Amino acid sequence: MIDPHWELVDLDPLTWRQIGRFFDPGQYLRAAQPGEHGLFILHERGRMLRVVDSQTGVRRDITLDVLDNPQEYARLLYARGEWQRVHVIDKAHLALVARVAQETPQDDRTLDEYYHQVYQLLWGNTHSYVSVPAHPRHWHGWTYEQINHWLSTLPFSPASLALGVFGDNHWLIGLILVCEHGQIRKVTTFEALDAATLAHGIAPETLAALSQQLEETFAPPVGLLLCTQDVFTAWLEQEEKMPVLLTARQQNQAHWLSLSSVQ
Amino acid sequence: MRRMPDVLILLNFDLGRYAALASSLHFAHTDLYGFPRELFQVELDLHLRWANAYEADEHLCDNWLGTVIGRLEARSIDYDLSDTHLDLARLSRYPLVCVPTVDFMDAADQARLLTYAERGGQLIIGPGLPYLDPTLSPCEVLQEHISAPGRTEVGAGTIWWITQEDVPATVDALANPGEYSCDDCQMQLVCQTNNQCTLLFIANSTARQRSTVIRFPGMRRLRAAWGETGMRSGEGEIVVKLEPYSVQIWEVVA
Repeated sequence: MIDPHWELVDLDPLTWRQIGRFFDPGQYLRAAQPGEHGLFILHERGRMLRVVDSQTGVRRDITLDVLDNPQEYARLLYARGEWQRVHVIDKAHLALVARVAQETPQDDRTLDEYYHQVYQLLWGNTHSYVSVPAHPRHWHGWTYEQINHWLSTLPFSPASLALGVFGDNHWLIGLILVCEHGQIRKVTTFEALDAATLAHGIAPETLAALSQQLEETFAPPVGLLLCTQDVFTAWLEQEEKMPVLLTARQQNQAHWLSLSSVQ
Repeated sequence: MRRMPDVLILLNFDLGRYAALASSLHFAHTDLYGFPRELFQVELDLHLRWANAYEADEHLCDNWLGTVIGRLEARSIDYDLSDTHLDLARLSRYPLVCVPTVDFMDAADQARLLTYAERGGQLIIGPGLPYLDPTLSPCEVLQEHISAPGRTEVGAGTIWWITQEDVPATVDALANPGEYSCDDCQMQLVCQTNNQCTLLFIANSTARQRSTVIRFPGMRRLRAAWGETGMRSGEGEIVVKLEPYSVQIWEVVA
């Protein structure tokens, strides 16, 4: 899903292949993780409706007449050690989340604002959707507020950002973003650049050439990152981001430029 | 150039409504939360004969609908997709129409499909034969003409009521495979043609580079029509190699 507020100038298939997975908004909302063995208890204001084990299916042996303490029930079930996560979900809460998120059309709202509201509604009431272990309230260390704050405090507007993730002979991701007033407004790829810009691969020379091209073609650059795919994956997934980049730079596997304080 | 596939698959509108009816979580966003499928399902005991919830799942590859789609794609046969409310004029553009059917179907939709077959169409239905309407009242528009699984002649056309196991053989017998096919079922090959031009579209939607053989009768020369440049030629077959998630378009020049 691509934000209609973006001007999508170009997105080469290679880059799209690599970044497509980030456009699944569910991953930023859900507590359940892919492959995780979970127990899901659906109730409606305390009346049990259905219990499903993600590996074995419907569980009729787990039942209560009235579920009056979802947090405690989830904790007790999790303590049995059968599941990696126990979810106790009030159906009425899911209905409320859907209704509130959609009751007033707001065409000026960006997609990330919309899904952030869904996230806040879903997890705002701690008794309506209980997850044990709890939802971490971040995605691999990233939070909406952190990224939003960073974008809204860039030193220039418009400003450009670039991400180059390199494979053996070519970039796998070559993404250029132009931001204005805290919002991404234009999305294009390294195909918009002179081929010579990237001739040195992951190197300070590339950083300098890219920076100059962005300045001349789009907007003053405020954040550039060039790295290998392994470094990119580690940077995304590890909660402490800077140590990943610092180690990678020593090994000539990452170089970056940042005129803003959060990385 | 317009695509003119010979095969049309109709999604069963009433089956889709049944799936919504049999879900307890028909709210926005619930598909994003990572819940197991069974959590959504309501166990309805309506004394129906066929596995309606299973057949209603359009994402499965091993129910009746998924088997039809899989067979067509495996044989590089292009098809269009619509639903059972499609009007008769548009239905009649297709020599072959496939529809997943269960216990119930709207009377008007049944009548339209019957008329399509009576006017010369080949209609494949299954795994069930509707005997009810969507309100589960008796409705035997198709059943009045079909007494048993298999082939039934109606007017100038034929209705094939078949099980899932019979899908491959029936599709093979009725769907024109066209001149071109490819060996790799993970690759999709579509041929589009009119009086002036024949184009072959071949797609690798997997994450790995793949090679495959495009097969055809006789000698052919292909010219790259998009992106790459170059010619290929061969007697009976031409090998192509595609990068992950990429598409090639070849024009048949001789």
